[in-house]
Amino acid sequence: MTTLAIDIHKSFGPQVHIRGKLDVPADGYQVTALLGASGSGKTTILRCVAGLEVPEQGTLRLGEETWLDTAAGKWVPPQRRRVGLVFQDYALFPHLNVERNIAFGLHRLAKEERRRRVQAMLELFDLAGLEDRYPHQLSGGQQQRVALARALAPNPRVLLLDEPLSSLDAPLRARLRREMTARLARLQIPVLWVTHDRQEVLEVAQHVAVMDQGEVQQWGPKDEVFLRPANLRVARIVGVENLPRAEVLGLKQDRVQVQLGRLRLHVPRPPGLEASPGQRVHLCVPAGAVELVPQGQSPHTVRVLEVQNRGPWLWLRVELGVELECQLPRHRAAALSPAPGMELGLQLAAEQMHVIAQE
Amino acid sequence: MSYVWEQLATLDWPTVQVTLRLALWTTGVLLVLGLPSAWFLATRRFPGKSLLEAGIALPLVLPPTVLGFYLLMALGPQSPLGRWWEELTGWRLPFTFTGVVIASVLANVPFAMRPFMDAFSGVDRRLVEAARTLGASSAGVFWRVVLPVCLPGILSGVVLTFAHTVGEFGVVLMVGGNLPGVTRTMAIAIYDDVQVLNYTRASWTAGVLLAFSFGSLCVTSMLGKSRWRV
Repeated sequence: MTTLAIDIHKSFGPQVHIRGKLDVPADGYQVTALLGASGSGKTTILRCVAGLEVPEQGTLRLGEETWLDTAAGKWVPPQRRRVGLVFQDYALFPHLNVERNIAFGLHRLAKEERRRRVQAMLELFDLAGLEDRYPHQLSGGQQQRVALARALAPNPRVLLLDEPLSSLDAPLRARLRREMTARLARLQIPVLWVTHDRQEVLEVAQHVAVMDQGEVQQWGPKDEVFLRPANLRVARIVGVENLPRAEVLGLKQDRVQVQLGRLRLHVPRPPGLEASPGQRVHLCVPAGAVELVPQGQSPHTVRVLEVQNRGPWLWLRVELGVELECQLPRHRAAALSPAPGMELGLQLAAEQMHVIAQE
Repeated sequence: MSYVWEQLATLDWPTVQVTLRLALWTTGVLLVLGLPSAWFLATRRFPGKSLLEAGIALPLVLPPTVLGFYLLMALGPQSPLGRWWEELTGWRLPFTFTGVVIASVLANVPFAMRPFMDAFSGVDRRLVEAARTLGASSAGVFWRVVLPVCLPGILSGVVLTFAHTVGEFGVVLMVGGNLPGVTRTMAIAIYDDVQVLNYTRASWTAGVLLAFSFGSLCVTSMLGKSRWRV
């Protein structure tokens, strides 16, 4: 199995340090998302992988090949790494038409082969008929496709995407996301995808690395990171709705017994978690793990504090000694007709919960 | 129309020829030396860079006679530089065409370098980076991306330099004197004609220079608008 192994430290002056350690699976089509707020350092990691920034320390390896090893004094310049890079605003060459933009990275190929490759890219990205247009004559979506075609034409071994959809309108974005992933899947290329949008990660990625304050906090398969965040920062970035405090009552082989408000729960014990009774922890409670039912159908009751109409969903804040947020689909809400002050039954899916030791 | 041709025929043609030769040489030298220097200045940071940039702009504000005076001193046989040249070649630089070209090049440095530097520093860094990830070497990036993107700026520097040299007066007069067919330029010829009260020829020479200068500025203005849009 090939991986792109990243372990780098890059600083900008004495204050700003970017540290990235993660493995990007690089066999065939797999998307690894680099998720974080703007300024968290994710673009710097991407630029280091492309060779556009030189880290002070660390190593970068794709399979057997070493791109960077500061201890050995080795650094491979970007033009010899064969990575495809798509910038946030595409950076198409303004003096070249679509065809020549796509052919830019193919200058070492024979003319016939070059034409064949450009043609294949024009077809794959649905750009036929636009060959002679210049970048300023294209729509945002067309520019994005040209940028992808240009990056992919030389058969790169990894594709790096820097917020590839963020300069497009929201409705267009959702559609292009699907089209784009379908095309990339056909090319069987591994992708490192920088984004600040967790919805995007959920839709496109198989693996994710979460960045915060200049550091990769956690990386791994998407479900692992989203359902079992390593710390509170990751939990907030991946969007866990509820992170209430709870108290450890006891530990078993694969379970933790906790007191959550008025409730006692047995939740899965994360590997490596050591905690003594009485210790305070945070509990990840996704909104989807909270179910409201008519009073009497559950031994546990909650009091409704707030109800908001959010289109097809009803959003609620409820209280059971601690506060939790949850959602109800409209058809269920009609049967319960919740209002502030009302008491309802509660069912919690303990399997979907996760314990985070306090920092 | 035939009247215009008749009047143009009375112009001092050897002087026109000297003027155009001087402008071509000046522009050529500044293109060859100025482009790499402007690229260096636009892309590197080093101590003393602002001093160097101020030095480049100096001929814009310095009276041409001041520049001409110092050049005459520097190139003449009293200075080590002038003596070294004389030993090397057997002849002196002041009052020769070569001397005038050197003086004119120095006087025109800002007219070439400023547009070149503006063009280079205006290049979107990401275009350069995109080219590198697409396998282009540093030379490839320069020839295939930087130069074509900067072409309007470079051309406007060329036109400005040429036009400004055609109208050069003070520096050329100080270093080159006023030798017909060798160092006398059109601007100097106007002054001469006025001295001997030949207002007709002076006005035609002046008119040609006016039309040429205006035309050149029209060209640079059009080049300024034709910057690549994204």
